[in-house]
This record gives sequence, C-alpha cells and structure tokens, in this order.
Amino acid sequence: MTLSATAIAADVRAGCRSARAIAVETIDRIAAQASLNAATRLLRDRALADAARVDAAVAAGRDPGPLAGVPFAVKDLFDVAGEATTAGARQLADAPPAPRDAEVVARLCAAGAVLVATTNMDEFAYGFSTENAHYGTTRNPHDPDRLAGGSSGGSAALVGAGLVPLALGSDTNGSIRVPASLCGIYGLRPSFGVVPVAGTYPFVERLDTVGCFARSGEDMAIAHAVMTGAPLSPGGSAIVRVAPLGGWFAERAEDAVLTGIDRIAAHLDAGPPVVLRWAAAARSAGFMLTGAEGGHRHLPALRRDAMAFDAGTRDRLIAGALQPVAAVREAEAVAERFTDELLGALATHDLLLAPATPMAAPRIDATTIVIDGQSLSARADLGLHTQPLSLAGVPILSVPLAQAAGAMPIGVQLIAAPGREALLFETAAALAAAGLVACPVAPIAAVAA
Amino acid sequence: MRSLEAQYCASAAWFGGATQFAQCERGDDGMTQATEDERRLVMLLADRLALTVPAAAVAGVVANQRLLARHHEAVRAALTEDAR
Repeated sequence: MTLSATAIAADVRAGCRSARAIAVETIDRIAAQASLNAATRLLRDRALADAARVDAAVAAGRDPGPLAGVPFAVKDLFDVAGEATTAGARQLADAPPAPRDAEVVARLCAAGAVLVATTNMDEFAYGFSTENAHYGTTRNPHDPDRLAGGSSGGSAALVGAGLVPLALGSDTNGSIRVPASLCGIYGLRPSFGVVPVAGTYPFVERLDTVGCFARSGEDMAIAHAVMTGAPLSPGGSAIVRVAPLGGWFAERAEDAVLTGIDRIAAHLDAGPPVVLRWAAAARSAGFMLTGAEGGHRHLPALRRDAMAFDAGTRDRLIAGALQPVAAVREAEAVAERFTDELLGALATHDLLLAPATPMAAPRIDATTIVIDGQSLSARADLGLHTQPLSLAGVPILSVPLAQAAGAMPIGVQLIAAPGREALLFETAAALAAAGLVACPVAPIAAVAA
Repeated sequence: MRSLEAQYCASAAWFGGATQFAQCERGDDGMTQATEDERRLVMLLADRLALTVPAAAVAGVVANQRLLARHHEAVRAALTEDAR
C-alpha cells in the first residue's frame, strides 16, 4: 500500500481502489505489528462504516472529499464517538463513551478520511516518551529497543512505520515535535488557537494545540487545511530572511542535528544565528507552568485516588500543584518576555531553525544521554528545544533530516510567525526537493510493503 | 503495586536520576533521599490543598520539587539579571 495520503485519496476518488479495502488492509497491518504497542484500539467496525460511506459517495458520483479513503489514527485524548476517552489513564478506561467525535476528527471524516485506531500516549500527556504504566511503552519503528518519543508516540510510531499516512496528536511542550523527530516524520504544532481543541482532553490550556503527523509536507498541508476548515493562504513572498537559533538552541545537541541545521541554513541562504537570551529561563518557565496548571487540573482526581495514576505522572502533578503562587507568577513573567523576544525575531525573519530533539531516540533502558560531556535526561530533556518555543504560540513544523541509511532519525524545527503555516509547508517541500529532508522507511514498513 | 523503590525511581528516570534506589541513597546525580524536613513540607503544602500525599509518593514528589526549585532558580536569576 502506498504511504501517501494524497495518492490514496486520488485512487479512491478515481474509483481505482475502494476505501473499504484500504481500511481492512490498514487495520490488518497494524494488528500484525502489535509489538510496536502504538495502537490502543483498532476501530474495525467504525472504519468499515466510514469506508462504506466513502465508497457509496464515489459510486454515486458525489464528491467523497479531499481525503477520501485515507486511513488515520488519533491519540487517545481525542473524543471518538462511542468510545471512552482515556487520555492514557487506566482510571478513565470505564468513563462514559464520548457522545460525538472531537471537532477535528469530525472534520477529517467529513473530508472522507477513515478513522482506524486510537493510539498510545503518556498518561494525561505528561511526558516525552510514551511510556505508560497502564498501556505499555510504544516502540520506535526504526529500532524497537528505542523510544518513540511522546506524548503522542503512538500516533508518531504508526506514521513512522508506514502503517497510516496521517495521525493526530497534541503538542503542549513538544508532544508532536519530539516523537516526529524520533520517528522520522513531519509533525506540526500549529499556531495557537487555529485548530479547534473541542473534544480533546486538556493538559495545559495556555499551551495546548492539536496537530497532525504525516510523511510529506503535501499530506500535512491538506490535512491541516481540513482541520482548520480554511484553505491555506499562500506562504507569501520567497523566503529571504532565515536564521538558525543560536545560544540555547545550538547547545546540548548531537552533531547530526546541528550539521543538518547548518545544511538547511546554507541552502536557504540563512543569516547569522539569532540568540534569544530568555530561552534558557523560558524552558524553566515552561516546566513550572506545565506542572502548576497540570497539577491543579488533576487535583480532584489526586484527592480521590492518587495511586490510580502512573507513579511518575502522579509525582510530577503533585509537585507541580504545590509550587508557590509567587514562583508561578515569576514563570509567567519570563514566558511573557520570551514570547516578546521570539515574536520580535519573527518580525525580522521569515523562518527560524532549531533542533527538534537534542538527540536521536534514546534506548528504552537508558535514563541519561551524554552530549558534549553533559549528562541529559533521556526523558525530560527530550523537550529541551521544544519547550521554550511552545510558550509563544507560533506554528512550528518538525521535519525529518535526510540521513544515511540505517541512521536513527532526527528532526529540525522550522519556526514561523503566527498564521504562517503555509510558509512552513512550502519550505518543507523545497527542502525535500533539495534532498535535505526525507522520511526514512522503517524496517517494519519495508517488510510489510 | 510497585515497590517504593520502583516508584521513586520512576520519578528519578524522568529527569535522568539514578535508576537504582541504592544509588539514590548515595546521592548520585543529586538523588539523595528525601530529608525529614522535605517530607514534612510536602505534607504541609499538600494539606493546604486538601490533598493527602500517599506515603509511596512522597519521595517522588520531593524529587520533583527539587527539580522545580532548580527551574525556579533559573527563572528568578533571569528576572534579577534583567532588572539590573
């Protein structure tokens, strides 16, 4: 089966392939790769019903939609009609089923896409690794002994494995960008507020966004347009003002990603690095604000039964809630200063570049990674370069660097001003055409093809 | 239920602390055992939020509080520097 959403939709719209056949094949392939532990539920009945509607539209000569027959999966925090929204938590497994799909799920289905599965995540989205005490660890499709990243790791792993061409995730501090980097695919954190979050389980409302994973900029652009309900406006004039982010964003990162950024910068005729002096403090501010808001959100449940939580999540949430208000206010002040600084840089630059993760996927049994002589957490520090940028609400596309065969994937963040997603997609397409970014084929995909 | 050590080290793994409880006790990577004062502080602060912290969670909460405190130091230092 082709891995492109665009090609699948073209085939189905032309009547060359049935949505039903694609749905059945997709679900069977996902089931055959259960060791990936990416999918939490296979929605066979739902998929067949959705596919039947698409096929009926095609047979009747009606427009089945721009994503006709495209199979997709969603992170377990998206409402799916008739299913409990677990948000990766065992305590929500018996929650009343959602009465309707989340808004973006409904929009994708209205465009002809076929929902096939829900996917694994860190409990309540509080993590960068998709290691879930209740539902297990999602494995990297390029090396099952390595992390897929998180918290949207299940969705990223399915796309990275070539099992679905599109999947939805959420990004609060990097939960789309981190797994996109580690799984070798594109992942979009959209401008804050442009993609509806209705029907998704919240984490930190001031930072939460929902976005998608894809294997090409073209697929990403189509999905994004459907999810926002608006056609993409053109990216604007040719990119002339590009710069890599220096300072914090040029430190504590593997040579592979820094070299990749250098190549992209050279190709785009980038200017000198831009240093954001508030970046380090912003990372800390993001850490504190996430703990504070996340902790207070879950206080009622923690009061009821703290032991029902994943232990790691529980302890982070409690500690977050116990922070003094004065400290949180100071974090907010730093967040504001960093936002002003980043938006100021984006007023004079069309595009900024930064690593998506400091390193390629860590081994599951590793707790630390040493880079440039510094010991980094193989969990919390996966978000080193994504977390500060999340504060500003700007759109960020993680693109997979083209690397030698067999190398573990790693991604770069393309950062633009609010509302300039089209520029990100156009840049990604240009970089792909230049051979600088590419989705590697995972061993699973190669075997299953 | 996971052992106290396993739960403590689940928290430790989050920020790259030692994986073995014994290492935590030795203070590797700053992961010393929670002091009695730290434990009491957690209980006091939680009580103000009408929250009872399970005994099994105290060590992990303290570990995360230490991490947050380091982040707060960074935030405060940046604001102080900016104010100069």
